[in-house]
Amino acid sequence: MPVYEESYRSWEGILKQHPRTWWIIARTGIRLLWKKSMIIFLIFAYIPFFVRAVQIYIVTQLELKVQLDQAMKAFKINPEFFFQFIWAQMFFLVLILIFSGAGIIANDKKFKALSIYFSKPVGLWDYLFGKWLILFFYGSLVTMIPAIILFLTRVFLSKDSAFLNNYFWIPLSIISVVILITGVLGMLILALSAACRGTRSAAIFFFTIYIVPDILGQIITKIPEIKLVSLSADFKQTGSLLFGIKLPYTFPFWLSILVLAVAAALSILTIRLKVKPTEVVK
Amino acid sequence: MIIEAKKLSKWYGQVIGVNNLTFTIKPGVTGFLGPNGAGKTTLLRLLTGQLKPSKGTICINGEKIWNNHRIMKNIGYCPEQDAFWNYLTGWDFVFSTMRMHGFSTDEAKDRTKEVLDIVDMTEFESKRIGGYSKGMRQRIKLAQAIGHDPEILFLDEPLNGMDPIGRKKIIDLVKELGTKSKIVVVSSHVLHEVEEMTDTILLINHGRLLAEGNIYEIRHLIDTHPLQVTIKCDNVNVLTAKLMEYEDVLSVQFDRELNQVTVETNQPDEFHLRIPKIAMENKIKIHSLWSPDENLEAVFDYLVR
Repeated sequence: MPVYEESYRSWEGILKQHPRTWWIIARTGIRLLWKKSMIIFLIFAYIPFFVRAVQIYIVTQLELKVQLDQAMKAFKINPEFFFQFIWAQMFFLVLILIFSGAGIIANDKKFKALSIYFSKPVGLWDYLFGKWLILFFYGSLVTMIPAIILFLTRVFLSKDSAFLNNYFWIPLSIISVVILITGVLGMLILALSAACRGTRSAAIFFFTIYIVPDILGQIITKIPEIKLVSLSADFKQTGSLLFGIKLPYTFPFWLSILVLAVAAALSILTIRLKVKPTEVVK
Repeated sequence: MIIEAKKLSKWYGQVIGVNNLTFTIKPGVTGFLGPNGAGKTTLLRLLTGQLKPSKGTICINGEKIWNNHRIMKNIGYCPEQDAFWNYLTGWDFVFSTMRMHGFSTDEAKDRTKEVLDIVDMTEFESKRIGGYSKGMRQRIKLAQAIGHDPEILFLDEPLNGMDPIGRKKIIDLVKELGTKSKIVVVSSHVLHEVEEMTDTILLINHGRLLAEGNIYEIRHLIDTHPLQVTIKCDNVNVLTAKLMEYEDVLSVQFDRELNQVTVETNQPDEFHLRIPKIAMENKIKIHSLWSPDENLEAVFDYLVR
């Protein structure tokens, strides 16, 4: 056992030239959130998954025995089934983004921790990507992961390879939709967390931006294009496109993509302006 | 290793943080001395690459520091204010900052253990930072700053809130780091704190460099500056009469209602030695003694004049 004097000891090792600081930031954040009773929330979020899994089991068992009639076709396991599942999980995704995202930068600003990050070899994009990965990780746990497990369940329970041959691209659609949704909403909550004074106000603003335009779209039915301002409607339109199912709205899909791109760009711009290592003296 | 600032300025809109500073810092301990609001913290943030200069340059070994991660890997920074997540334990905080510097998981574990031992925080490593005392917070901030064994270390008011034993340890540590060919910059608004760590200082006020060099030269300037001392006692008349017998006492003002006398002297050290003797011989009970202009602000006013 080495015996040291009570004084400074130098480090003899060699440090990595390019540490993946975004990964360190993400890992620390994921671990901290896990400690905050995230597991209980995830258990609730997985209830729809178990219901859908049972549905897949029943439908595939019936398929083995009898030809599905018209009524049973409503329960058919097709791209729409997976998109509907992800769409239903949006409730949990939004809750996760609010729960884990509202304080993600606001707390760093509150505790003045930005100066610790940025006095180290951590760039703004490392910081942002690390923070976004935390949201993506938990967002995927309630959307992408269960959706892919459902797909695999369907594949393994099939009597032949017809389902896999027809729908092999579904996992890619699942991944794309989840990246799209967590990408835009993740950036939005990061921007609000950076811009707002506290966690609560960031959560309220996020909820307002996400819900209010959706309600407006429901009320003002005379102008269908009004739904364009609803991020939820734009996700549905773009998601339907990615899953190859009928588009729910009459406006062109590219307009929805444009709205989502603008929302993401504005969020990034806000973050760029609001995330600074030190508070500026006025 | 050398730090060079040339005509360095930083302003925030109308507010000037630092103004046209040119200096060089070599290995060893250097003190940034200045009153609160002098621009020390802004200067440290410029030196650590957190702020971009509005004008001028700041280089370490000829390389500009702003956004230069290669240089930043060799820098340790201990901010004045608390800058951590209260819900983390001390160990988690230091460990995650070690990882950001490129330590592997095992290396970071070893080094975190070692560095917590250096700052005497091993006992409290599992406690949440939110429950730490001010002194413990200072030590954990210092641990994250020295953990990666940086070549350059910036410490912003590192002795704030430390108990006497803790102060002694930090002072010894800073002095030791200065002997290891590292550049250690310590900022403080307390003259004797800096004096205990180094004799090389940069004197800053209102964002400008007032003096640079040996602290004893500054001390000499201060010593020739008449010092005001206020004494509160139970017999103002006798004390006043006795004090007026000495040539170094330039003026005396007394207030019978408050039972206090304010003296101006140009030999403060001798004056301070004399007071207990006068009190003993004349059975005067001294309640308090303080110097209203012993703070840096007064010294700066004097230097600027």
